Amino acid sequence: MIGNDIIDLNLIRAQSNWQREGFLQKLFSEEEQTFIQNSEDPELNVWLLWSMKEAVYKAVQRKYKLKRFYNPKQFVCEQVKINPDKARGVVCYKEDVFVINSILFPNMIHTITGNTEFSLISENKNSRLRLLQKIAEQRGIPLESLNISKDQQGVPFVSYGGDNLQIPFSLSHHGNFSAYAVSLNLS
Amino acid sequence: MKEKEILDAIKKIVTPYTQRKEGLENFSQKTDFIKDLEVNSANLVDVILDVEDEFNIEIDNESMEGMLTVGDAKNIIERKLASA
Repeated sequence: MIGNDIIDLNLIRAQSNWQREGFLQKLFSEEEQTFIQNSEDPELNVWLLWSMKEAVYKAVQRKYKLKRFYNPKQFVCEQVKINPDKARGVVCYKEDVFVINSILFPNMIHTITGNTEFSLISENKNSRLRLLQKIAEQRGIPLESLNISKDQQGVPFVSYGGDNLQIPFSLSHHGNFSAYAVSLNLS
Repeated sequence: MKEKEILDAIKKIVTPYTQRKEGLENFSQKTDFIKDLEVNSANLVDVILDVEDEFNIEIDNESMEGMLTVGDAKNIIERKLASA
């Protein structure tokens, strides 16, 4: 199951003080806190690990049709490797292990689960149209027949002439950015 | 502590993190922090830390897990106060 999370770093700096007493302890395990504190850029790693947990939360919520919940420490980040512009790692949730990939920009982090076939990041809120264009191209169907609808539980799906195409996708937005992660192979 | 005092305190705590200010107008126990007030998920931790400070209680992970609405928060606070 797919999940993704986008963080606008300028906005999150204004919204959150990660150095507040107790903040890291509520979100991260001892090991994760040590990893963050010993890293070259603790602030970036706070938000990288947070985006990993959020992306996998969305994936498991979808996979197991879970009600919403808030327990960041149930998502354990391991083997996090950072390069200048990207990061990889795994997130464990109970028995599940998810590989995740992140793209790091100076002002944004985008994290996707490993089974994502493509993702789109948009600065001007047109990622909805870009998602539909990509699907139209991939499937060879006219763009005009595609739409994003919501089911009775409020979960969005891509429809073609009214029919659910069963394409799993995950949406995230924060501040100036929005993103889709899509799996075209129905897994 | 009376229920209304707890609800007023929660409202005061959550206001600075609320991105959808209209959501505060019909503030009730059904108010959902993320859906109705559009509190950023990282800021939910700040709400929890502020609640801990305000009521001098500790909210463990299991309690935090179900803290999605104002009513959830109120129930947790009442339970913690009763066992303190």
